[in-house]
Amino acid sequence: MKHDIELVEKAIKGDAQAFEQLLFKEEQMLYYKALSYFGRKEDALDVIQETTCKAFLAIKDLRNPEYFSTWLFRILIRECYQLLKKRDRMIPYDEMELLRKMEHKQELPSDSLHLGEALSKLNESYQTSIILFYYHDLSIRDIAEVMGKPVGTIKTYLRRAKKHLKNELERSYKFNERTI
Amino acid sequence: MKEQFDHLDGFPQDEVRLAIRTGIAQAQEQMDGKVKTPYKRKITYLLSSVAAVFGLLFISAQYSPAIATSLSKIPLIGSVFGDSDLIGLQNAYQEGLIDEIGETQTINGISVTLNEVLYDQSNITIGLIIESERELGEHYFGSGMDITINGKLPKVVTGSYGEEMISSTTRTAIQMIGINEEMPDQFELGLTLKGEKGEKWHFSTPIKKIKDIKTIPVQHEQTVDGIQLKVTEVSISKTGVSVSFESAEKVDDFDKTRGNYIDLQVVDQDGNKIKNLSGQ
Repeated sequence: MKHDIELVEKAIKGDAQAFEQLLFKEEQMLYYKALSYFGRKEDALDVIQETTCKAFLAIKDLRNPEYFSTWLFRILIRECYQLLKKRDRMIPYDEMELLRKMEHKQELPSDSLHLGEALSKLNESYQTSIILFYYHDLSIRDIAEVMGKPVGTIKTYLRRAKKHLKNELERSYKFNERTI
Repeated sequence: MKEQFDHLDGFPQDEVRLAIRTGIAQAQEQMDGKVKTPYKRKITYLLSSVAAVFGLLFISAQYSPAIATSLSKIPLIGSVFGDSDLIGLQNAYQEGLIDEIGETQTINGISVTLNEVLYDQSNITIGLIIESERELGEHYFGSGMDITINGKLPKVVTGSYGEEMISSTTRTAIQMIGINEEMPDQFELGLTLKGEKGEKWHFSTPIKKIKDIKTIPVQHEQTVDGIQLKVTEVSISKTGVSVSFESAEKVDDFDKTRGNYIDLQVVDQDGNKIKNLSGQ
């Protein structure tokens, strides 16, 4: 979303009203994005409150007002991830949508009907990387920031996760082929 | 995104606005010092109207002497760095620049030894020796260690982790962490290695940047094909030569930045290419 640069500049200078207006403009996107990570209204509202607080404390350091929206959503995603991690919960995703996105990028064998099962066998870091990258469309750099890991580590997670998934899916495909 | 949740109740605008207002009030209280935050962290974000990519190019020193270590003097694993195939680390080992630690911790029959650390102008490099009673999977230790600087998590971490299998129960590992401005010349480095079964090997050691690093400010800037490249400085030490650069370009999507793919060639005064480059 594009914002009035003057309004963002006011917010950068610490104008709480300007900041509030900016967030009100993003309110639906903030809510539905948070909801996509938690599925529960109460959690989404908690994350929005925490994101707003952190963003207001940090906005003085925002160097380029035109990227306010991107900057804000990175904070939101980071908060979502941290809260999920604190609660030892996996990032929720829609299996069919993830499958569609991964197949579209030709990352998986076609008709990978057991993706959810295969994904659940991966360790938590691999699962998180795959879901953030393919389902939530985060860049590797953003995932690294969200997870607090080096970029190289995220690349390794993704590479290994894809390898494990492919092996697992091919194995389950062969198994099903034999049992039919 | 919204369509996904259309089956749920409508958008709770009042509650979302209340959460936003409460969040702002919470921040204002913290700024006024009324509420003490459990930790204060300056949040900075790279994304901006120009996508900035900071790079460090490491050139293994060409003037290094031939490795003269006699194999007979080295135990099975004397030095992870000395036995590595990285010339910069071999030089550091030869020149006695590494901090030998030698602290071992054993959990679940797996002994992890923090063998050595090198803090030079481009990286903090950590050498580990891992020995286990049973055979461990290839990815047992995931993708390396988490670090802290004086007990605090760094904002940005770059680097790499790699293992070399010495035998079915012994492996060495090298973790490299890119230097950034958060890192003082000496500090307490915390390291945590996690195992597949939830084991955590934690180490804490003071580290100090090596001396005799010659830094030459360059500040040379060129723009080619919309990419603004600025070489900020060149640092030279006994472990190698580092070139620091920043690239900036206007992009709508951070993923499309080309800065990560910039390949620098280093030549000497006669135009001869210097080999053995690595970058991050």
